Order: sequence, then structure tokens, then C-alpha cells
Amino acid sequence: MVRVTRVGAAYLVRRLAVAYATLLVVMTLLFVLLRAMPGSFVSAMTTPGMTTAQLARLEAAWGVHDPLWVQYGRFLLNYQTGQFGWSPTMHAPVADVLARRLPRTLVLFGAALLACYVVGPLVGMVLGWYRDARGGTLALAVSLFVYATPVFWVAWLLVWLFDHRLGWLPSANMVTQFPAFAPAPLPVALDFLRHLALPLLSVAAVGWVGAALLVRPAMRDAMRADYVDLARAKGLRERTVLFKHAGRNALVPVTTSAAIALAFLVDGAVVTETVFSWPGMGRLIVTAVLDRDYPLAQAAFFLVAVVVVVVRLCLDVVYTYLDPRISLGGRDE
Amino acid sequence: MLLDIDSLTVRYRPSAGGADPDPVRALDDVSLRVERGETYGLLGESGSGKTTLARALVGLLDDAGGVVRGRAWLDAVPPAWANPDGTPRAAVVADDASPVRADGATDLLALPDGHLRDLRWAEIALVPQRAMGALDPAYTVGAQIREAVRRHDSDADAGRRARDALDRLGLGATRAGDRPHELSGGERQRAVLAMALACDPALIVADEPTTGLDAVTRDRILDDIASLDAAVLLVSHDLAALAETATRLAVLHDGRVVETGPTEAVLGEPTNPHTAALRDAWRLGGGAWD
Amino acid sequence: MTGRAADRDASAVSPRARRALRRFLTNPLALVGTVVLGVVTCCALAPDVVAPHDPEWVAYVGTGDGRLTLAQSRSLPHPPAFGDPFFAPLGTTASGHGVFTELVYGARTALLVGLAAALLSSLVGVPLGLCSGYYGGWVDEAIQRVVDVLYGVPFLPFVIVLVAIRGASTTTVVLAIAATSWLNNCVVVRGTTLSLVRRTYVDAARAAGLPAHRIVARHVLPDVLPVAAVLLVQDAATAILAHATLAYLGLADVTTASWGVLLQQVQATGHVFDAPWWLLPPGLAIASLVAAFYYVGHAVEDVTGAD
Repeated sequence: MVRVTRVGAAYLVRRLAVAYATLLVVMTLLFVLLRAMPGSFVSAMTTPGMTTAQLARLEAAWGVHDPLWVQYGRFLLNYQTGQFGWSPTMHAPVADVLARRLPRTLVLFGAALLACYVVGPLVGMVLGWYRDARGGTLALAVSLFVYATPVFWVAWLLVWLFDHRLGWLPSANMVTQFPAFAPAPLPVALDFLRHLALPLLSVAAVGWVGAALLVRPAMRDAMRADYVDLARAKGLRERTVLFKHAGRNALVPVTTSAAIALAFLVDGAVVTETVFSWPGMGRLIVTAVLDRDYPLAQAAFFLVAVVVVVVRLCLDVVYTYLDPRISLGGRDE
Repeated sequence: MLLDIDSLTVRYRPSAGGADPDPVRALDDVSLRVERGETYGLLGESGSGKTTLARALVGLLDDAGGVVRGRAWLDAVPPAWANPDGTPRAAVVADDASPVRADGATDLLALPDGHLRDLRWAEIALVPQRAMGALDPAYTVGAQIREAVRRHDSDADAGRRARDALDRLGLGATRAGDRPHELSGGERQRAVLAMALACDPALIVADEPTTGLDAVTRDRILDDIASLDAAVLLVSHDLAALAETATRLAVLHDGRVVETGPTEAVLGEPTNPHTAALRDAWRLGGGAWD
Repeated sequence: MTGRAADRDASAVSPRARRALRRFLTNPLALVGTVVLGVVTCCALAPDVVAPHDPEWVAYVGTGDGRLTLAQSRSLPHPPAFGDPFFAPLGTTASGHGVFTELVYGARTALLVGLAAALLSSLVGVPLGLCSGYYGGWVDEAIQRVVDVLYGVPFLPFVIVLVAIRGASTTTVVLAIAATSWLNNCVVVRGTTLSLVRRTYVDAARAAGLPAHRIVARHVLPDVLPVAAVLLVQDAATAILAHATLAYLGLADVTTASWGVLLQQVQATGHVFDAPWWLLPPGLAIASLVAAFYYVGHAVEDVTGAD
């Protein structure tokens, strides 16, 4: 019996090509939007106090007088080599600002992804299993209502409850600004986790529904499947049939349509970072845009796109492991 | 006596808003008896109620399966109600409400869900229709067999018993690590049978085990079934298959048993015109009972 | 028209459609969704009838009026306030506007944004999905690669950048939302079309040389339309949420009354924790309308079996 590598090289190459194309499109989009802006492209990087000589240097550095295709080529090259330019509001190279911000977003984003994808599918399995039961419709109605609430509004309610009323959790920043505790690893980590709790809860409180709604219809198909019948005939307990057999197979579409849930999480992260003054990429984009710091906003946007593309790539690979019938690029395709 | 079905009647609830408000009678006063170790054939065309019968025994009728009446005595006691030697506990027998008789037979139809689950597969294994799709694509064949063994017996030798069961059906113990999509149709059917054997049930109810298989594979499966130690209630529309394997035969038509007896007698001298028609059709196709 | 003719008309509706309609009307989710949508539509069409005040109305607070003494003006409740001294049923905002009045006038924006964005993304996504699924081959390949690539563009950051550059008008917001939400329509419609095209009767129609538009109209559209309808309401829901989020981020048109802007003002004036009468209703209004769209979508899915 010849074992086929689960993820074929050809498939991986194709996915990588799509990922790269996505980033090229994002960069082109940025370039086009940039030129569409009123005034010189450099004007976004100037401050009122600049001298004409400084302005000229800046224009020369960005080559605004070169032909458009040269500018485009340089733009692509700069972005792919991490040359994002200088942020006029942060007074630092954009790349440095991003390097500091990205990990903070990834922590929040990763934790939220994990929370949503643990809770959501489980609830979705139960919702799908009991969809024709008396409480099934009500449970669905409640889930949909939760999914319909604006994330920032939910975040405010949570802040009101946990910070304002109960005083249990901090609701701003990532760490305590002037800590009273010693800067030892454990208290610092605990402090960080306490700050993470509310933003995470806000995203997860709404986000789990997305995954649940993907699993629910898949669960109905799984319930009618013959292997569920056999699992019952084997005398397995209902819980085992539900989660181990029907649920396990209903998980497959979660990863295929994860792009939607992923988009939700990115949006949710942007909003929650703003609500909780979490110093990550999402808040950076918003403040940069509002402060008209375009080099920073563009680069941040680009980097978020990179993160999304990479996560999607990973999910594709996970998918091939969840559905053993498919070996992408292998013999079944 | 292993299984004693006594006037089993199943009525399906009509679907909501359907044209026909009367419950559909899927099984009407069906009685039959299966002895230990024998292969008992249940012949019927599609819609005759044979699948309903098979599923009613293990309590797996669909939600639409409404009223079930009658008795189905199986010579086994749910483990929770049994003494270590397998006889029913005195307290259970003394309780009039309990579905266990003093001689150790249990009424499957009156058994609470939890106890029925304990008996399923351990004593009465239903190999459902379309066993081709009955294996969970997410797990290896071996894992699915071990799961059944662990559910009803010990953890310790689940792996060995899974391999033994596969071996007995000529699948080779190495196939235990394969996932269902790596098996052919016939291999999957045998894997499901192996799964049924793994827990050593007294009775295997096989629902159309040969449907959709090619002739060679079908013959192998039938040979396998005939060689089992367990009693088999073989449910099929395939008269040839039943003629080859079953010692006794019941013919189901429109939810009623129209004929029953040794296979030889039923096929040799059918008293029911329906059976005769079936038999003639089979003979025309070149079949003969010998 | 005589009664008999009306009867015949009613029976001309296919029994399948009538059964679907009955199942839709008896579906509790559909009922709740329709009622909410009806109420919001009434508010959007005739806000001046529903609202107790016109949008310019401001609660009398005694400031800026020289005839009151300082003590008198201090004794008056200052907005934002809850209670009925100003005859504002849900209290007032910091600027003295009635919360309820603002809610009613915000309904139009919400509905407009939702429907416009949804229609726009359907108009782009459904035809492309149909072409992609029906013709297959390089057409399909080209469209799907584009979709694949665009799926990677993060939505909210993209909209933020776009709005920042184009200005925060409602039209821009709608365009930005539609620019990303058509992708899903395209993918789902393609999938449905593909499964239909593979059926024997479509093959037969193709073999018989029927023109593509006839085959699509006869065999494909009837099954694609319910799917498209479900997507339409889902897109409307997403668009309303996205608009609210943009408003919160300060990227929506603040001159038109909308629920998102109303919420944003709560925060901008620093009343998130002390004015629940102001904070809760807009959020609940957004959630109710969005949920109503979801409910209707699910009910349509249930009735038509489109998943």
C-alpha cells in the first residue's frame, strides 16, 4: 500500500502562488489608492514646518517625478523588502513601528481564533443535533441575535460589567501603566493576561457564532449519514455519537469556509483594539488613518493582509488533515 | 430459543400535513423465532417492512417510527441487571415492570434506552443497510472496531480482538490501520461484519449485506456469513442469497409474514402465491435449490 | 376582476410555491424577522409620523437663555438625562436630542445601507457566479482566481483606508462594503450552478442545442434564486453591522442620523457608563434589524432547502 503525502507539493505551490498574487493585488490596490489621493503623494508625509529643501529631498527619495511604472516597480520592491518608509506621526521608521505592534495583535487574534474555534464548533454540533427539537429554534434565534450585535457595543457592555461595576478586570491598555508589583515574570504575565481577558471575551462573545453556524448545517448531513447509524447500532452513548462521529465529520466545512470567519476575526480585532486601547495593528490602522499618516496606514494594512493570507494557507493544510478522503494534489484530486 | 418475536406491529406516524392521516402500518402482527447459531432468512421486497423489523429490534427506528407493539424476546440480560454468571438478578425478575423474564430473556421493545444500548452490538448487532457508507471516514477501520470492543468489553485486548476479527474475515490484520476510503466496497462490507464479530454477539442482524456488490464479492460475503458461529438474521430481497445461506426462511409481504418454514420447504412447495411468484422468477434466472 | 377569476389566479400559483409560502409564514423565525423589518421600514418611510419630535428638536435645558437665573438653570436636569421632563420617551442625548427620535430617524440610513450594499453585491456576484458555474473552463478559472485573491484582502482595514481616502460619505461606505461582499455571492452561486449543470436534464438541453440563456432561465435560475435571496439578506445584515462599526471608528457620515453615529456620540461625549438609556437602544436596534435579516434568511433557507 503506497502512502501518499497528504499535502502534495504541486498543491502547496499553487496555494503559495495564490497567496503571493493576493499580496501583489493588495500592493497594487494601495498604489492605485495612493495616486487617487488629492495632492502629491508625498504631501501625506510632510509636516507644516518642513522647508522646501526638505520637501524636495523627500520627493526625490520617493521619486515622485519618475514615470508611473518606475514608481510602481519601486513601490513593489520596497514593500517586498520591508522598506515601508518613515512615519511622520510616530517619528520612526514604519517597519519598526509595525515590528513592535504585530506580535501584540497576533496574541489577541490568536487567542480569539482559538476561543471561537473551540466554542463555536461545539455549540454548532449541539445546535445541529437538536435542530428539530423544541428548543432548537430558540437556541438558533439567540445565537443569531448574538451574532447580530456590534462587537464594540458588546465590548462596552462587558467593560461596564467587569470593570465599572465589578472592578474585576482592567479595560484599557495591554499592561498596567505604572505597576505597583515587582517586574518579575509571573506578576507581569498575570497582569498581561488580566488585560487580555476583556478584549478576548469581547471578540469571542460574538465570534463563536460564525463557526457554530458553519457546523450546524454540516451536522444535519452527518446525522443522516450511515456511519452515524452504525455508531448508534454499536451501542455507543449518544454523546459519543454526537461529538466523536457526527461532529468530527461536520468539522470539515469549518475550515473550507473559514475565510468568512477569519474576516470576522480581523474586523473584530480592529474594533476591540480600538475599544480597549490595545496597542496592536488594528488600532494602528485606525489612528494612522485618522491622523493622515498614510505610509503607516498602508503598511499596516499590507501587513494585516499578509497575516490573513498566511493563516488561510495554514487552514488549507489543516483541512487536508481533517478530511482524510482528500489528499490535495495527491491521487484523489 | 435465541430470538422470539411475538406479534410485532409497527405503525409509522403520518408526516405532518400529509394527504393520508391514517398511520402507515409498516409491520403487522409479525412473529418469528431464531435459534442459536442458525442463519435465518427474512425475504421481502423493498417496502415490505423488513428493514423496519431489523431496526425495531435494536430500537433504531427513525423519529417517524411511531407506535411499536408486541414483544421481541432476546435470550440475554442487560449487564446492569445481570449476575456475574449472566442470569438475571432476582430483584429484576421479581419486578413486574421490568422487561426481563426469569429464564433470562429480555423484551427488547420494552427495554429502556440505556439498557438497550448496552445490549446493542454486545448481544445483538445490526449491520445496517448500505454498509458501504457505514464506516466513519474520519477514523481507521481498526479504531472503529476497537471503539465497539471498548464500549462493551475491556480496554486491554481491544487491539488484538480487532485484528482477530479482521483476520477471520480475510481482511488481514494490517488493514486495521486503513481508513475506509482506502478499502473497496467488498472490503468495507467485510470490515463492518468484522466489527459485528468483534464483540461476540449472539445474534447478527444483517440488513441487505450483499446489495451493490459484484458477484464474486457477494459470494465471499455470503460464505463468510454462513460460516459465522453467531446466529444471523439475514434480511434481503435477494432470494438466491437466502437460498444459499439460510436454513429457515420467512417471507414478508406488505408488513405481514406470509410464509415461514425451512428454506427447502418454503421454496419447494410455496403455499403463498406471492412466494411462488418470487420463486419462479428466481428459477427463471437459472437459480436452483439443492 | 370577478371572484371566479381571482380564484383561478390563486390556483395558478404552483402548489409548490404555495406550500413554500405557508411554511415560511408558519416559521417562527420568519414571523419575528418580518415583523421587525416591517417596523423598521415604517420608521424609515415615515419617521415624522412615528417620532415624537422632528430631528432638530432639542430639549429645553435653560442654557443660552438669559431670562433664567443661574440657580434656576442649575435646577433643571441636564442632558443627557432619562425621564420625561422633556417629553423624550427614551431620554435625551448630550446635545439634548431625543434618543427615541434619533432612533426613528436612523432607521432610514440603516435600511438604505443594508439594501443598497446587498443589491449591489448581488448584481455583481450572482451573474459572475452563474457564468463561472455554467461555462466552467477558463472563465471559471479566471473568475475564481480573482475571487481567491480578493478573499485575502482584509475587509475592515480595506474599508478604513478607502473611506479615509474617499471621504466618509454613505455612498463610499456602501461601495466599500459591496466591493468585498460580492465575493461570497459569487462562490455560493457558482457552487449551486455547478451542481445543477451537472444534472442530466441540463446536459440533455445542452445537447439539444438550446441557447445558454434559455437553459439558465429554465433550469438554473429557479434553483439559484432562493440561494441568491438568502445571500441578499445576509449581505444586508453584514452591511448594516459594518456601517455601524465604521461609524464607531469615526468613519461614517456624521451629518446623517444613524444608529452607529448615535453610539459613537455616546463614547465621544464620555457617557458610555452613565447613560444606559442612550447606550442600549441603538445597539439593540442594530442587533434587532441585523438579526431580523438573519432570521428571514434562515427561514428562506429552511423553506426552499437552499443551504
